[in-house]
Amino acid sequence: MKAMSSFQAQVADWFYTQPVLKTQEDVSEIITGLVAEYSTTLYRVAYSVTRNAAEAEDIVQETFLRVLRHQNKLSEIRDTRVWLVRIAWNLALDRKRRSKARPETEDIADLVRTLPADEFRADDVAISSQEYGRILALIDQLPQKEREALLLSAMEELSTAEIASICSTTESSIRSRIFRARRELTVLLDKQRSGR
Amino acid sequence: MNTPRHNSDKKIDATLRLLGHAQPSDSFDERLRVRLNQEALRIEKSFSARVVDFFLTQRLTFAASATMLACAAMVVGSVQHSHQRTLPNTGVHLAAPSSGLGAASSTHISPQPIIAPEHGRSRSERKATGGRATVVRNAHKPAGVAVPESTEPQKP
Repeated sequence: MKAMSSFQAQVADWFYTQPVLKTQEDVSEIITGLVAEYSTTLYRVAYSVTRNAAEAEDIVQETFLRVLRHQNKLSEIRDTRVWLVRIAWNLALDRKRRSKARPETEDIADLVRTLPADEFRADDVAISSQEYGRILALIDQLPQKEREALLLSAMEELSTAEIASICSTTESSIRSRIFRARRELTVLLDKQRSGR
Repeated sequence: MNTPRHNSDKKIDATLRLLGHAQPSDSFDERLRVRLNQEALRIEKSFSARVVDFFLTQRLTFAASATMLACAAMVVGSVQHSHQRTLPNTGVHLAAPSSGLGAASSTHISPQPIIAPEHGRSRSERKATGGRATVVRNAHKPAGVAVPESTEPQKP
């Protein structure tokens, strides 16, 4: 599986360095490689912002469509993953901004229900889907920069350097944003608990 | 140890882990591939169509542009050619030096510099008296100019 994915990454790299037009077969092969390599990461990034499965899937699709439409400009791309995540991230933020007017339908309960049990530690299972929803609502109350750094830090596939690159800032800035976000979130949770 | 702070941290971690483990539906990758292949096909077709459109459908525009360019090139070339022609100098005709020949209308250049007269006139001062031209006795005349004696009585 690992060997396969590195082969696909190589195919993708080759695709980006070719200045000539490609045949339909080439493009199909490249797309298959890119989708297999990055679709789940992009879905998670989009889902962390929208919290809606259908919208997250739309965003992933739109990300790849943009790649396809600008395939002749791809030779300058150095880090494919960061580049794709940045596109998906901006699309998700844009969609979230536009959807503020209409009521949100979050799929957190569905996600909690469908997630395999081995993805969680034993002590995590005790948290109900309502509690997840409450914490996510508190995350939404954080300042924008802190919120974005915290959400991206949830993606295990992304290193701090990659998050810094996506947010166009430094690694140390990302670390301090995550620290501040967690601290503020703890304060908000404590307030909520004492208020109940 | 299970302090409220520790509890909050655990909840935050669990929530972030939940987001980090979100999975698209099983058929998503396949649907995505199909959609992207369709789009790739459409892009390829539209590219071919654009090429055909450019070389066939738009022939008239292409021909008109070429004609306009050719006309512009002809006009520019003609104007430039006119500017580069050497026209004859029509202002001053100089007689050929020491040839002894020359047209009457040609300009004759003196071989020596001409000295300006002292009193502002190059000829003898004349006065018309009784319809006759007379020359004042003490009129300044250039050397070598012979003036006939005046017939009028000398004034006191």
